[in-house]
Amino acid sequence: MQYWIVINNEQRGPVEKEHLRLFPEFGPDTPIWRQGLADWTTASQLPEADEIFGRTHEQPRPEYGSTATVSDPYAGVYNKAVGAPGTPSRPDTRPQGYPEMPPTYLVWAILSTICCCLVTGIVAIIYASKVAPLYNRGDFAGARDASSKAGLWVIITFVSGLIWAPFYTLYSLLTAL
Amino acid sequence: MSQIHRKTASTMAVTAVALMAVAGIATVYFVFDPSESGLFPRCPFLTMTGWRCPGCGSQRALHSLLHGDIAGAWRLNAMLLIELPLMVALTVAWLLRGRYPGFRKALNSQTLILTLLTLIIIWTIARNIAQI
Repeated sequence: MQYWIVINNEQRGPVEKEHLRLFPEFGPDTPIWRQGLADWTTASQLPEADEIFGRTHEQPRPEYGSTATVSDPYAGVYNKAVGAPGTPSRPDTRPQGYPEMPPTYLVWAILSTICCCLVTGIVAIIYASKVAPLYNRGDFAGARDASSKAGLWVIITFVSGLIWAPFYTLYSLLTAL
Repeated sequence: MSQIHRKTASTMAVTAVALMAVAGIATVYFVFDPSESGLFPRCPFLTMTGWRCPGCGSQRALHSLLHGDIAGAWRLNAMLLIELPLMVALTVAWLLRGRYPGFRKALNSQTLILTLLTLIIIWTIARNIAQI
């Protein structure tokens, strides 16, 4: 089982279960995600939390920071999640694997501003700009939300354009007479 | 495997329809000159407020561009000459996102989008002051 975690606002993964503890900053509140989870959670909320933190019922619990003195103990145990050469894209396994960054609909937002819908276009662009930072932070639900809001404002732009068009044509014809 | 093939086929169908739409629009703007023909709507924002929107002049600029007149297009709507290549790049990056995820992420970064937004706002204010 491979895990993705967020440490110092940076997404790390995939990390093997046994290697999670090697991160000095890894603790019960670290955001974490793995296959089979609908969304991110914190490490302490996982059913396998005891296993991850190396707790067994026979042994006393080690302190979380106890491995912190080892210098870079996790070097080489993980690949950086996005765009790293060691992370091949596997579109066929995507549904159970690592989620893809949701669309920003930026092309449509730009088209909205060109087709004279300044205000709604700008709202769409602002939401589009939020997708990547949320995704990079590991907030997949937030990124999806920003993405769908950008899409919604694009739809609002074009639907209102379609409703508006006949009235505008009529107005143009009347004023031309 | 069949799922991959179905996905590829539907992507190809969408791409084909989109390419035909782009070709159709390009033909219309190549054949007709928006500054002379009554076929093309005047910008409602300009008509109602008297202010130019960031897209005003795009139809004429597109006509100039399709006739190879880049300088003319620049005079009609300079912003379009920045936005068009960006939109092409964004579309290509989206289509090739499986192979080049880094390219897509770079083009959709917050820095790039907020820079674009700033440019659009500055352009809108500047063109209304300078009447360009």
